[in-house]
Amino acid sequence: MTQAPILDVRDLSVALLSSTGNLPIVEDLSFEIGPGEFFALVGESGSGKSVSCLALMGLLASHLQARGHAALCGRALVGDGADPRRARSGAAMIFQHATQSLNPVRSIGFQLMETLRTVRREARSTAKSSAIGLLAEVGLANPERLLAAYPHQLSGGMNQRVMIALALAVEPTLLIADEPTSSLDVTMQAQILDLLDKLRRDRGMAVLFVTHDLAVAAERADRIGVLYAGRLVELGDTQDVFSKPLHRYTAGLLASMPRFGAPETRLPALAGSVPLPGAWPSGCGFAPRCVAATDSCRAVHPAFRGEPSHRYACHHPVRQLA
Amino acid sequence: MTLGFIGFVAQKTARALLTVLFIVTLVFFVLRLAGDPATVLLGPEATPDMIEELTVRLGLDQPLWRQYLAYLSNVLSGDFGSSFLHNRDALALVMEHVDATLLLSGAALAFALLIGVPLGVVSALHRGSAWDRAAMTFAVLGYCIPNFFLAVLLMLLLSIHWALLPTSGGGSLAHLVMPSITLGTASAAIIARFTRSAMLEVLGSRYMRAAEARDLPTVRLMVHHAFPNAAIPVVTVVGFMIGGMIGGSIVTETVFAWPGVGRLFVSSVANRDIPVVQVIVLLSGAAMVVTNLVIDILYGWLDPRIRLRRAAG
Repeated sequence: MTQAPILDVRDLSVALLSSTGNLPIVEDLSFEIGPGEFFALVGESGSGKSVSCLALMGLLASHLQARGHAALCGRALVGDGADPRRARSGAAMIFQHATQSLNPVRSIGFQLMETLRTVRREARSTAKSSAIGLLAEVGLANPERLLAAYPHQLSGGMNQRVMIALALAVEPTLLIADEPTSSLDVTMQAQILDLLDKLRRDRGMAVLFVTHDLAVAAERADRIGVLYAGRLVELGDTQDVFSKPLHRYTAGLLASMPRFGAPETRLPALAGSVPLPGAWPSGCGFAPRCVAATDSCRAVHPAFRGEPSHRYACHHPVRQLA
Repeated sequence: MTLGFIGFVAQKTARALLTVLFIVTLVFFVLRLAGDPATVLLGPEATPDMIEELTVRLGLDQPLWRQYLAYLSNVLSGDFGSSFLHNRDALALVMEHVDATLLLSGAALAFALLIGVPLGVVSALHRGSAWDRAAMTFAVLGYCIPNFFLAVLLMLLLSIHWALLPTSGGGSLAHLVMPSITLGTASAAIIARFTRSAMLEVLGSRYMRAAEARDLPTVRLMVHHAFPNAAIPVVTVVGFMIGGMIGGSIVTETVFAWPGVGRLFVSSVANRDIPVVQVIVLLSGAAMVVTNLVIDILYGWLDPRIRLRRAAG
C-alpha cells in the first residue's frame, strides 16, 4: 500500500455494556485500507470480525460501545467528532444472510430505487434506469423484470447480487463485506468473489472482506489481518503472511489447511478452542494454546511490531523478519 | 398477477359463504333444542289447546328437517320470518338496531387503534424507558379491568362527578364517548402489546440493519420498512377483535342503555323469539366472516409472500 489510506482504524475497541462491568469484545484494532485495496479480515467465529465492521458502520446495537478512532476518507466514523451518518456515506455493507437483509414486503425495484432517490437524490425516471443498470452490472439477467420481484422469489446468490447492487447505489469508496459468501455454495461463492473483484477494478472501490475462510483470503486479498480473541495478531501483505507467517496462531491455521497434491496424512489441528470474551487470559490471548508460550506470554500482552508490510504481535515469532 | 389475486379473493369468498351456511345450520338446530317457544310466549296460564294452536300457527309442529329446509329457502329468498313477540318482520326489526351497534363498534375500534398503535410504537422505539413501562402498565390494566366495572367508573367520574357526559341512551356524539371507551379499552391494550412486540421484532431484523446501513432517513425507515412488516400480526388481532366487539357490545349496550342489537338480543333470547335471535346470530356470524375475509385479502396486499404463493398455487 503506497497511497494514503482511505480507511484508517486506530485502537478500535468494542465492549459489551453490562451492569456487572464492561466486557471487551474487540481490543485495540489498528489497520489501514488503501484506495481500491482488497483487505481480508480473517478469524474464527467469535473473534470479533463482524462486530468490528458494525462498529465502523455505526450500526452497533445499543448494548455495545465502540471506542478508539476510525476515519473514512478523513471523516471520523468512531471517536472524537464522529458523525457516523455522514462519514459512512462513503461506505456500504453487505451481509452473510442476503435474503434476510432485504425487506420481505418490498420489491427489489422499490428498495433499489428508494436508495437511489434518497441517497443519490435521483429523479423517479432516472432512478428506474439506474436501478436496471445496477442490476445488470452485478450480473443479473432480465433486470427489468427483476424490479417487480420480491426477495423470497430469488435464490440466496441472486439476493446477494441484489445486496451488492444496493451497496453500489450509494457509490461507496469502501465496501464492507461481512462473510458475504459463507451461506452460498462453492460455485456461487466463486461467482460473487469474481464480481467483487471486477467491481473493485471497475470502480476503484476498496473492499474490507471478512471471512473465516483462509483459502478465499489467500486467493483474493492484497493484504490480510488475522484476528484472534478480539485482537489483531498478524497483519501484512497476503503473500508475506501466507508464505512466512510470524504469529504461531497464523502458522497453526495454515498448517491445518489441506493442500492439493500433498500426501494424505492427518492434518495438524490447533489444540483447544478460542477463549470466549470475558475469559481472555491476561497476557497473549493465544498463550494457552501455544506450544512456544512462556511465562512472559502469559503475563504481558505482546506489542504489535515488525515492518509496515508485515506486522505481528508475538513474543516468540515463528521466524525472525529478514 | 392481477388474475391470481382475483382467484385468491374468489377462493376466500367461496369459503366464507360456506362458513355462513354452517352458522345458519348450527343456529337453527341449537335454538330448536333450547325449549318450546309456544310455551314461553303464552306464559304459565296457557291451556294445552292454546299451546297446540300456536305451535301449528308458528309451523313448529312440522318435522325438524322440513322446518330447516323451509327456513333455508326462505332465508335465500330474503325472508327471515317474523318476530314471535312483536309480530313483524324480524330482519327489519334487527336492522333498526344495527346502525347503533355498528356506530358503537366503529367508534370503539377507532379508539382502540388510535390509542393502541401509537403506544406500541413508542414503547418499542424507547424499549425499557419510562415511556415503555408506563405504556405497558396501561396495557395490563386496560386488559384486566372488566368492562362493566370500567363503565360504572366512567359514569361516576364523567357523568356524576364532573357532569360532562350523559349517563346513558343514544342519539348524540356525547352519548357515544363512554360506551366506545368502555368497549375499546381492552382492545387498545391488546393492540398496544402486539404492536410493541411486532415492532421490536422488525426493528431487530437484518433487513432493518441493512436499510440503516444504506443511510435511509429515519422516517422512511419506519414508514416504508418497519410499519408494513409490523402491521401483519397487528392486522390479525384486529380482525379477531371486530367480531368480538359486536358480541362484546352486549354488556356495554346494556349498561349504557345503548339502543343497539346487543340489547335486542338479550330480550329476544329471554322470550324465545327464535326468528329474531336467528337473524342476530346470522348477522354477527356474517360480520365475523366478512371481517376475516377482509383480513385475508389485506394479508395478501401487505405480504407478497402470501399473495404470490396463492397466485402460483
